[in-house]
Amino acid sequence: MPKEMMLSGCAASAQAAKMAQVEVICSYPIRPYTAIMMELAKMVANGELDAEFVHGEGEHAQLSVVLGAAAAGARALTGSSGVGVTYAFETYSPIAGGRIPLQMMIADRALDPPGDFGSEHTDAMSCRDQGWLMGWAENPQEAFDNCLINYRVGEDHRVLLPQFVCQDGYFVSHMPGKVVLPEQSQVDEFLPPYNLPHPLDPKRPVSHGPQIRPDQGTIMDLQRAQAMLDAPAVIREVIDDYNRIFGRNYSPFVEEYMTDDAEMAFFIMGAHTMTARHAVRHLRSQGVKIGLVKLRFVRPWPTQDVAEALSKFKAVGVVETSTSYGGAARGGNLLHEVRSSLYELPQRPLTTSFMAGLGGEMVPLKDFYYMADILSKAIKAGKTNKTVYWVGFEAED
Amino acid sequence: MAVAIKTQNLAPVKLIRNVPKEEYYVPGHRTCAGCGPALQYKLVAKAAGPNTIFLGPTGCMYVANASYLCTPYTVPWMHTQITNGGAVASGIEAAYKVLLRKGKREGEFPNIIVMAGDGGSVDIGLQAMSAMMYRGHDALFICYDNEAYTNTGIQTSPTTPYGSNTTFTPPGPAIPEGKTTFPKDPPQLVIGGHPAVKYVATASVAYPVDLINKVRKALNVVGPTFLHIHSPCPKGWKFDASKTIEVARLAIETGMWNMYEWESGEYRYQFRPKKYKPVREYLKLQGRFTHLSDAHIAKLQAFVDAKVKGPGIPVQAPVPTPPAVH
Amino acid sequence: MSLPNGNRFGIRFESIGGLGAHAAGQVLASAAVLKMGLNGAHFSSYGSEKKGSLVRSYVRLLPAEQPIRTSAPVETPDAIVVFHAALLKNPATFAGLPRDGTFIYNAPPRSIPEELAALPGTARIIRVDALGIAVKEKSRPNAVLLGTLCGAFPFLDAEKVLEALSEGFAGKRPEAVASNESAFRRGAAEFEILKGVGRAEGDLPAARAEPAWGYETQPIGGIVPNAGNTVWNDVSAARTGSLPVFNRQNCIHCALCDLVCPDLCLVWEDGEKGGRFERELTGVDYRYCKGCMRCVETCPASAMTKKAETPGLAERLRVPLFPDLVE
Repeated sequence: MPKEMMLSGCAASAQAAKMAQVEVICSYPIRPYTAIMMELAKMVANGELDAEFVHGEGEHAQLSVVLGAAAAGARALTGSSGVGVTYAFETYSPIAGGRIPLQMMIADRALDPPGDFGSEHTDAMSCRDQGWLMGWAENPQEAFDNCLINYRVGEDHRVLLPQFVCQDGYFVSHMPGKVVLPEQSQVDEFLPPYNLPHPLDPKRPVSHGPQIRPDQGTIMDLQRAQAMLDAPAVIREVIDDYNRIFGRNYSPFVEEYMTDDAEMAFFIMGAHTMTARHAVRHLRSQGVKIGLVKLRFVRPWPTQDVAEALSKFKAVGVVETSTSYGGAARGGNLLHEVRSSLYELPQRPLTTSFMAGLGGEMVPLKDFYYMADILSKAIKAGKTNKTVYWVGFEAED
Repeated sequence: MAVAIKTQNLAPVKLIRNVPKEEYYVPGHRTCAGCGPALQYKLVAKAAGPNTIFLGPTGCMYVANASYLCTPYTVPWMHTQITNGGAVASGIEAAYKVLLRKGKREGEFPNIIVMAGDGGSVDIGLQAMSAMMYRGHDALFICYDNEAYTNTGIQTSPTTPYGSNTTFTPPGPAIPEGKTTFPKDPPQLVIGGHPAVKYVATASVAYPVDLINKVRKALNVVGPTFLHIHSPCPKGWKFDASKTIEVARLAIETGMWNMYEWESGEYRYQFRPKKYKPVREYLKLQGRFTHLSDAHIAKLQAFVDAKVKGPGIPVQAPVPTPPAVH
Repeated sequence: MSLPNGNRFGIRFESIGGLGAHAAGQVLASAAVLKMGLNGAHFSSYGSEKKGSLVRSYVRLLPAEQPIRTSAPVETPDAIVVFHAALLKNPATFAGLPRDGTFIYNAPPRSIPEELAALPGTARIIRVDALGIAVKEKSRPNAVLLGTLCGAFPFLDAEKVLEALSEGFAGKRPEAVASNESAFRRGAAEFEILKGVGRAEGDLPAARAEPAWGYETQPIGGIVPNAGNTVWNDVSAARTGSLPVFNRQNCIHCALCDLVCPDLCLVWEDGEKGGRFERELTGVDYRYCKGCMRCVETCPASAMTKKAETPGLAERLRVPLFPDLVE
């Protein structure tokens, strides 16, 4: 019988890893993701999970250990937060380019300087070009589900890519929410055993990663790009399967909320989506024609799905909880990709970026009302006044 | 239920005629003529046999061996970053433990060998090497020491001898000796503080049968082991490729290289000269030392004299030459 | 100072690491730019910096007022200079030579490899014993070849190129300056123009690298599933003039040579049944021998001796290590 529990995002992630029967885990402590590893350590110690729990000497080592384990043929798991994610940066391209489908659970944390335990998406977002699948959970249930979904997609032989499975630090990682835990038999039906095409096995010797000439390198880049192009079809299949087996109702890439006849919408991902939904319901009750579009995967970026979902609005506010200093979006990250997705449309909505939740601050309802107000004014004026609004720091508009 | 620890017992070799005939490191690799590290690789592969997985951190034994999508290894091999040879090996070892335990793989636990250069062992690779030793993984870490970062054009590393001419320590009027610092001692780093380690040894291409036996002994140990193998580099040290063995022998005869095994606290020495030759005889064969004055050589001699009194005794490095006064 | 051929001039040096092709290109380009009033650029392409790997060095020269618009390899050079005769076996060495181009190669007298027939019949083909002269003058082949280049192309001011060559060494090794000058001058004088060797018509097509695999066929993730496939490489171009010759009469089959050879060139077979030796050495597979001579240094029975390598010697003496796999 599926079991209902109140679990934090970290605890839910640990449960998912256990049910995925991960075989090698590599830990290193950094807040706030550490709780995932502490849960897994207990499970291994009391025999609930038959896995090797390796104490890495740092985040770079964590990724290196699981790379070795996954290349040898074991389902591997690691994770980190904040500067731990960026310390391991050297390893991300070798792992993705080597087509080793291991999983890294990231519970976000703002990057130094200085130490800040609050959550920003920047830690994972700064790694998004390396060739890993990447997406955010809105709540602990999604944190649980995304672990299993990502293993299945990443390990599919049409994809063979590693996965960043992300959740906001504190807001998802440490706040309990209702999680339905399935039966192990359901998980076994959904997720086949780990099966790498060319593992390191003395019985079938292969070499991984010899030195290449430049003309051989372009081919490897193209193959990695192709895997990302092939991934969306696999994701759709997998989500269908997941919904069927576990009784969920996920759409693969974007989820629309109260978008019928909406004139404007928030485009958002991660924990603050929950607050945004409340804001949308309240605004709707006041007659504002507003909706919300939630993004589930940043990589592969679902250009078509985003374009279709957003094309019907007159204005879109992209809610950003990560930074890209000096970029064309004057601070935000997601705006670039949203505008890119909309570029070919004959009729494009107005778009602007709202920097909210940085530093790990809460995003209160009134901030969403402020954003909705800006969007209304923009629709009336037929243009946006600014590319980016640092919510809470702007003079009266 | 499959056994998840190693039970093999690779036999020691008493005579050259017993050296195994099979090769697991085949020719056609693009190392320089007379490459010392390539020679020790061949001997290590021979000693280890087919049930082996090699890790190749970036360095000459990665780039020169596996150039252009070719591979000279007939056993499984994987490239690692220069930073993480020990960590990747740890992951493979953990995977095999669980895979054998669960019955997903069968057979004998494989030899897992990290083939790291001096940089990948005790400089940028030090953290990962030490952690592998500390955590007790059943794997062998080999530091093939050619005393420089040779693949990138001969730059100094922590094992480069005092007084060496490298492209980061060129001698000149302001710094007459070239390299002013004395080297780290890799086996002593391992012996000094890793309780899980039971066997550490040094070896040299000058004595191939001894090398093969030390590799086998290390592989038979269940737990982390460390070998430090002297691998002279004709291009980096600037000597004729035909003289590699002679240079390696002289290193031992002058005390610049010491041959020993350490096993659970006990030292055993091999090829220890009754009387050491002066280091000058070793230095004069190599172009990387031709700029040294008598005063520099005396400093180096003093360092070596203290070092050969026995490993385990901390050596006080002499004060480096003060900079030239303009 | 005017350039031939429509006011531009391109040179490609074909070499292997360790012979000074990169340095030669630098000397030539700096002489042209700093002393001859030309506009010029030089760059080399090579893999990691070690002996024995392929090196291509390019020099582009233009009149002073013309900017250099490209840093791509010189695909249709006016002159190709080959530093090591083994490279003549590779068709890419000749690629792009125009019908009136000049081809200079390093080989001893009377050495006219048949591969030269692939050159255009109207090209100027020059042989110079760069290694022989270099050894006699205690210099390096690159000094000789620079001299030959100047001898073949009078627009290159030999004295200025020699100045640039000497400046490079004046600080580090002054004794080398005189040797380099002798080598350079002999290179400028003692070369042979060959007639009737090339038999191709017209310009030779430029080479484009064609990888063996495409993106649908190359194994993903940089994996090489064929373990040990370096056995198909021929590394004999790494030899620099000598090779070890095996005398089976003297051999006592002690295997010391095998224990010091990093390249696995030595071929063994089982000894006679009931004979003295379990395994016997039968010879050297020169495909893999890089000429380090450690077998010669180590052999206690004088069964390995160092001999100068003459064309065809290695093929004649070779005992293949993998007769079924590799020809």
